[in-house]
Amino acid sequence: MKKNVLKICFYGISGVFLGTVPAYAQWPTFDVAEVFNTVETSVSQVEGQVATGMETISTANIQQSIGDKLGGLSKIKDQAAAAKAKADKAQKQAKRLEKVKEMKEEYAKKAANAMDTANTLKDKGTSAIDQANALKEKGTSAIEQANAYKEEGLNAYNSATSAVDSYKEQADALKETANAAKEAGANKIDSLTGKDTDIQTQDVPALNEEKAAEPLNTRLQNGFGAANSAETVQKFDTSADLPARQAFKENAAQNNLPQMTKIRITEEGNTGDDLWEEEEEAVVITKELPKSLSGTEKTVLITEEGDLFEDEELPLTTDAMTASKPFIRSSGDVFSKTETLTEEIEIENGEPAEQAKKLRGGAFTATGGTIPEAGIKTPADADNTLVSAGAKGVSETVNTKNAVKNTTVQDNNAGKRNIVTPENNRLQKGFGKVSYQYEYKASYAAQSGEFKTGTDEDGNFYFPDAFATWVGLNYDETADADKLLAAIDGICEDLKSRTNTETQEYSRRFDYEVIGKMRANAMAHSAVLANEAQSGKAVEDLEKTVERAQDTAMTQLSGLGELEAAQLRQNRNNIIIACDEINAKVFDEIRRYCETYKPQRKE
Amino acid sequence: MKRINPKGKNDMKKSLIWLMIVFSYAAVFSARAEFTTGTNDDGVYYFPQRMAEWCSMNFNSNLSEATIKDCFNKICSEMASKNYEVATKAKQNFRKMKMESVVNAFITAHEANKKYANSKEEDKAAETNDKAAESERTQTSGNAEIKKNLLQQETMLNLLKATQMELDVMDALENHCAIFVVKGDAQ
Repeated sequence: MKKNVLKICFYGISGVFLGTVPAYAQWPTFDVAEVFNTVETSVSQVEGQVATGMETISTANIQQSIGDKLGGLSKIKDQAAAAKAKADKAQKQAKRLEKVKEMKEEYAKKAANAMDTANTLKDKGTSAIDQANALKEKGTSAIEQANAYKEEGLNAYNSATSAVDSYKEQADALKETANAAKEAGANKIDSLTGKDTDIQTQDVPALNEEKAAEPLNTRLQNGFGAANSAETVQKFDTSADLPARQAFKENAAQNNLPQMTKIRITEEGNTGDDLWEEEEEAVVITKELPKSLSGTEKTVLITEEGDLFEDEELPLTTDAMTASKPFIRSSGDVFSKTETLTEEIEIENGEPAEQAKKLRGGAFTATGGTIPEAGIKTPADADNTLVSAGAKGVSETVNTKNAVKNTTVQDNNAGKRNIVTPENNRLQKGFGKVSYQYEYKASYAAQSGEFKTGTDEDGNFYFPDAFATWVGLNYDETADADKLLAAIDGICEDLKSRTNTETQEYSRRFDYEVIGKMRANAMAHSAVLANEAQSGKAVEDLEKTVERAQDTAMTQLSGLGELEAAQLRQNRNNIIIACDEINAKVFDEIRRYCETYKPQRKE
Repeated sequence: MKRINPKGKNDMKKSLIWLMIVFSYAAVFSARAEFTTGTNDDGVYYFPQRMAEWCSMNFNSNLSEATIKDCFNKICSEMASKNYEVATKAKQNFRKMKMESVVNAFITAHEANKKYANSKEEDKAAETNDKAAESERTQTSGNAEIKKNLLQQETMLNLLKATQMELDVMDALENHCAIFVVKGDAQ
């Protein structure tokens, strides 16, 4: 306000000054009226200016008032905005607090549950501690036992390692002996004959010279005891000796001595197809057959079920009585010739035939004919179908007198029903190969699409067919370690299949088709071998061999060969048993391995 | 002032560093040169390859009791380790080692079966006897051949026994490790 008043005064004074100065400048010539008018004009102008200034002042006051009011509004607006921001913040905080409250409640619930669980665990823990203490006590004694096992294991491992070294040394020694024998044998033959012979020297060890010089009968006696009176073995070198031979035979028959027979050998020295012929007046050597191979043929019967024919059962046909078939027991072994048979039939020409071939795996030896080595095969051997031995059989007869080999096939029961596959595994072997094939979804074999078997065409068991199919290994293949390890993983995958149904099925197959059949075969082998051992047949034969071998150096050498051949058979049996034991263990271990196997799922 | 060749000094430093590197590599390779195997050059199996590597044993080294003992303790210690990774790896290794032993046993049995189970050695021997019956000379030769086959059979039998023994050892080792207590843990 003061400023406005001063402004007004300033403008007023300035107006007066500006209006009067020119008048004073013209002072000498001024007119009073004119001056008065001028002053009046100036005053009126000043008044106008004052009025204008007043108006300006008024306007300024109004504007100031408005400005003050506007300033107040802006402040209020800022305050309102600040208040709103505070309100928003407060609202957010309130929401947060509400959420925290909810979380607190939830945590409180969880804490309560956790407390319950903790209490439960505490109780369990307490009992676990008790158990642990008990186990600790047991563990202490177990540690002592473990130390004992440890010592045992160490000793066993050392033995195994030294055994392997020993076998290697033995093998090397054998090789050296064999090579030396080759040379010694050739030299000896030359010294005996003075000329080259057609005897092929082989890579074989020579007999120990010291042992060879020792009387063979003494060696034999050492092994089997003193010999009884020796049976006479007579050598007929020419046809002129034939009457003497006949007399010898008659004497043997009258005195119930062991029957003799002969194998005629031609000048060429062959005993195979080149038999002695009538027109040949050649060297004839008689060779004694064991007593058991007397001039009778023994008939064996097999029932429809494939087991041993029993008295209360009727034979299938009359012809079956004359067929040359082995008795096979329900236990799977072969009827021994030292056991009583139901029938004995004389051979037509009264002459004993050449020694029949032994049936594989059994002790039975027939005379007057040979039995196929792998048992009786069905002619057609249709897929998955077996025909009983009574229904169809093959007998083979060799007539030594005429040196003609005849083979006859008898169909004794044509048209009769086929027999269901025998459960007994050894009967299956005898009657032919049974083809089993399973569809394995995830196995190596299924991927390869090849049919595999652990049994060969002759029915000889190597390992279960199910295992062969599963791992893709055939009986005649060389097992590759890496391939087998991968295949075993495949088995474990199968055993840990996705569904319970599949798992159960694979487990059943492994337990029954692999482990079960392995054990069954091992038992069958053991039963056959045990039966053979109990029968005492082998020992009896050897004793007879020893008795016969007393006569000459030649017969002693021959007897020694027979004894060693018997040892070969014994060793073979032991090898079979050892292999069976190892395989049984192997399959058990694979089962255990798979129990802890973690499948590698391919999604 | 005569200046010592600083460049030459740096060269010497570099040379020393290179020498250290070379010796380090040499040490690594010499450790590698201690190659261990459970199978000899002819492929004859003695013990699982894993065991050879695990215990640094060679097929042709003399396995003393102390060596075997240390090997077993090492295997058991690792399987019982408190370090989860070490224990897990050791257990897996052991399972595979045992399975390799089992597979080798199967192969040995299979080869033995193939060679002897259906060989009818005794029939061949009888045939040899018959053929050799002509004279003492031929009989002696035939008997020698049979004797050779006998020795081969016996060698195979011994190998099978050794195989059975190895399987038993693996079982014993597993039982031992199942209750093995790492030194210091017993307290």
